[in-house]
Amino acid sequence: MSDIAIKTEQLQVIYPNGVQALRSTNLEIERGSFVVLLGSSGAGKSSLLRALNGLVPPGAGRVLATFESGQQNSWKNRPSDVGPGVAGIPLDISPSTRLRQHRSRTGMVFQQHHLIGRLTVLDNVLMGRLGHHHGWRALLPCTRAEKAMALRAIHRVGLLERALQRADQLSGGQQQRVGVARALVQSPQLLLADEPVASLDPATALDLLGLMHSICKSDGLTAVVSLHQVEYARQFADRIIGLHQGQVVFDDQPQQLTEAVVQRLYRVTAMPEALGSAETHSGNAIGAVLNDFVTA
Amino acid sequence: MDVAINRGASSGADTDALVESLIDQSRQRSARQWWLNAVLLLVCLAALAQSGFFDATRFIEGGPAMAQVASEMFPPDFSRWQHWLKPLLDTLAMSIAGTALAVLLSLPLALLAAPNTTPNWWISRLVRLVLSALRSVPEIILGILFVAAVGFGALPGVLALALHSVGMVAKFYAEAIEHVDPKPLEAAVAAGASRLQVITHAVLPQVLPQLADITIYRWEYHFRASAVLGIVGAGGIGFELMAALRLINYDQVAAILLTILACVLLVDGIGARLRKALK
Repeated sequence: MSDIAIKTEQLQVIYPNGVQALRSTNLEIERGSFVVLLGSSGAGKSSLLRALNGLVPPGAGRVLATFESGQQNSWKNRPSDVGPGVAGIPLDISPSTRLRQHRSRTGMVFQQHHLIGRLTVLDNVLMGRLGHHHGWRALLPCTRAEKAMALRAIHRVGLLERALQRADQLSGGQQQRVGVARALVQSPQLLLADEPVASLDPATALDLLGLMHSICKSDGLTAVVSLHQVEYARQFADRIIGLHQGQVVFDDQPQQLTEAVVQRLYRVTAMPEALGSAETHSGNAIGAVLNDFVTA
Repeated sequence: MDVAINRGASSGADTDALVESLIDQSRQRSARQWWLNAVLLLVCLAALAQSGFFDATRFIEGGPAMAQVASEMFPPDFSRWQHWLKPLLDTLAMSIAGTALAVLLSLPLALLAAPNTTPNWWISRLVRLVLSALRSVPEIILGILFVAAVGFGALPGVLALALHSVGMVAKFYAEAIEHVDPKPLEAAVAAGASRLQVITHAVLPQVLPQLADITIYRWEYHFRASAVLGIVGAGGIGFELMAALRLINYDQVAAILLTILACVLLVDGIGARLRKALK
């Protein structure tokens, strides 16, 4: 039996305005796999990702997550913090206490970094520790041990000498690295990334994806990453899930992703002829706007 | 010019017709603007007339009296300056204490009032109503009430300043909080942060410079306002001002006014420095 990190059961996402962003979806994500979501803007990639950590509530169905208690325990002294359930058994993430625990061990990287510009890199990364603080502890400053942990995460993304600079003084690629460090400091078991390279130039994008991929592989992290660029998906994914109009239309290894499948995935956005095959980049800008609109 | 307009149009005649209609529309708009300006001017003139501004006799009769007061104010009499130091210090203390109290009350109220941090829409409405009510009572009225309640001195002044300011400060705080970038908030929630943590770690760090700005501006205002509050017996330099006015010592009044002016400039200068340091 393969080890499942997170799965969805008949999961649907319906927004308050009645838009069904995700139709009934059954997915099982294997532990340690690097999964890429492909699809045009509005295909439901963001909705699926955000449903996996409860940022959007499921309209129907549920999300089940499994966790390894040993890994969690290394940062915890109190057994009660580990959460209900036995390690290895998938649990519904929807009860609110469990949701917070699930989020605290699920790192998320956002398209537009989601950093606070006037805070230092270190302070931004420390935000990743919030889920591990409880009750009134939340009002106290972070401990020395946590700062050391955050600095190690910043070192892993190659920004240690910039740790005390303001986040808004960094380039786009560096800011996204800070976003990755903020996810890593959670000591996550699952990493979600919502178009992490859509606002970056191709060289920086490749660099960042390579970094994320190598970290996930060396730490045994499960990753679900949405992308626009088919070539990056082919390069890094263990498995590609193609979404079209809120439905999974492709789910297989990257070798099986033929040109015909790609054409089908992008048939709506490929419509304007002037854009042609160079659709990916202009599509990204529109996608960013649409995603913001949908998630707002 | 014509070339640029005609480019892309199917025929010149269509474009000409459109140009004509656009000119008409713009002329209508400027006519409406003219009428609006005329009405505004009339309203201003009516208000001046209502206040007796066009009553020439009062100005003619009042002129010599004004000149008399002005001449009595000159030269300003600073001989009692030693007696003003303590009241000035009181006024300064009142302005700082009033600001501190206002901030202490404003922050939680602002978090309850701002739509993105309020636990409930009704609470937000209720808090906003309370803030409007506090704003609508002038601090001089609050000062009179507090003097009646707790007696003369700086304390009623501080309470009046704080209570009136909460209505203003909390409103500005709430507006700053309302306009924070929601993205870092989402990141905090995704990392498992609680509601309180989102506020302390994602909302407040973003708005701190603006809150400091509002607070310092309010402190400057409090210094000026506490000078006035002294007039109703709420301590400070205003009390001295009132005493000098009652005794018709206009030369001392002028000296006190100049002293207050100097202090206001000093406080504003310190405020500007602080604001720069907190950026």
